[in-house]
Amino acid sequence: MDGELEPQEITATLDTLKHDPSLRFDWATFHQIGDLLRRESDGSLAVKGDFGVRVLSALESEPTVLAPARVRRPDWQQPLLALAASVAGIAVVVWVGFGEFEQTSGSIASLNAVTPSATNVTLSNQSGPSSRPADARSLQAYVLAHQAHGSANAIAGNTRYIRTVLGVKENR
Amino acid sequence: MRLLLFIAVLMASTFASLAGATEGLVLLNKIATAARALNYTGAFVYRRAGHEETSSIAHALVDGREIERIVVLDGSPREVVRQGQQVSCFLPEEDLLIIEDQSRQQRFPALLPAGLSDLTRYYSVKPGGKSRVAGIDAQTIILEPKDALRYAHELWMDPISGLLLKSTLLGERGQILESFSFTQVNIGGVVDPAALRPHYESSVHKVHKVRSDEMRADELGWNFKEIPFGFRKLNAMKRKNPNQGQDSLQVVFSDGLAAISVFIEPSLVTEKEPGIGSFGPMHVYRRKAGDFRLIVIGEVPADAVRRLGDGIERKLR
Repeated sequence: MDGELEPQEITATLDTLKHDPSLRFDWATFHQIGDLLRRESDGSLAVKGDFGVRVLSALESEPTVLAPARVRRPDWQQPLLALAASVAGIAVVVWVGFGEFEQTSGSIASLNAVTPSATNVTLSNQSGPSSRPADARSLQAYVLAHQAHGSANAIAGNTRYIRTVLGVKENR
Repeated sequence: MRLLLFIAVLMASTFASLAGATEGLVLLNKIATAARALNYTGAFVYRRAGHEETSSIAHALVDGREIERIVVLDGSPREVVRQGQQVSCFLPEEDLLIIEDQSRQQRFPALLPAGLSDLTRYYSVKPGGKSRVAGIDAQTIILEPKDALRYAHELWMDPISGLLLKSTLLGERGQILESFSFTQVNIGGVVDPAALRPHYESSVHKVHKVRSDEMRADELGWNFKEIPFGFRKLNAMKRKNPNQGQDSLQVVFSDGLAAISVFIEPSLVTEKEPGIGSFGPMHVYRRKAGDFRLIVIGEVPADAVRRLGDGIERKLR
């Protein structure tokens, strides 16, 4: 993340990260510590295991993310960007991997809003007018809507709907 | 004389590549038609970085209506069922059923022939060699993007039925972002209705249903000032969720192959800086515009969703 790796080391490092859950955990922990130190996060990200694929909700609290500067980046930054992009991809996996820790929910308002009737969901501790419409919908809902309407594009084939239900399997 | 020969060779090669592009488009057209019209069942593997899952699929055209069911065979039995214009997605571990209901819309014409030929402006389309997929000698088609606003695709089709047997999405550096690949497929014949029927219905407790209604362009209230080159607005919808008071909007753009959706919804909270993230090969860009939250999703490079998202402005009335 700090540009310390040589380009050829990046791939190997990322591969290791992808295949070793404990490293991913460490990675996420370090970053969370960093975030907390910098006061960028309320610490809730790591505990939102249930957020796995709810990237949007996570984006709310901590864009994992490339700060979108609209400048053309010099070539030397390319490996860094690739790393950041890969990390963004991994991050989804990381969050999914936190399933066990979800009980200390910070703003797990998403399920509440979707299901007002559900009683066993931790209430949001946010104050004020923070019933966030978008939080109510998991990223899957957006992806599904996107897939369904992108179906104007028949070439993509019908198998594309699988994207909607991805990455939410083995983590409980 | 040599010059003439040179020109002749040049012209021949130009015609050859034009012929290749035309042949490629014919094949794409065949894929698009087959995807909708064919009955088939099979199993396919979906792969993306660090992730691989096998699913079964059944697809049939029943009384002019497409019915389709996908069940993930690994891990929890997630299920996607499409019945005509309604798609539902069941996530058993979250006990959640997401339903996207578009039944009140006109069927948007799938890739119009005109839209398809435009494709060659943004991608170089060429048929590749033969390669075996799911026991079938498949014809490959390669679509290389002509700029950095879209990804490359490689497609494998059954040359007889036109069914897409395998497809991969390739990133800027040629890396595979995701791939779908049939491992086994039965094409044609009657599909067992049981294979098409949803299996979750009675068991779900949470339902998240959104109905979308088509909107006229003049109803939209938003301007899109930076539409990435080659993308056209396909349609705009008002999304209604009975559990939530406020409607939101969805506007879909496509270059004929890739699609980008923009969601616009009321937001009361103070947003942080714009953020961009990814979900498999899809990029998600979020930012705030006045009292609204914009979410831009597409299976395109980050720059494309960001550009589109940054150029969205509320119309002054």
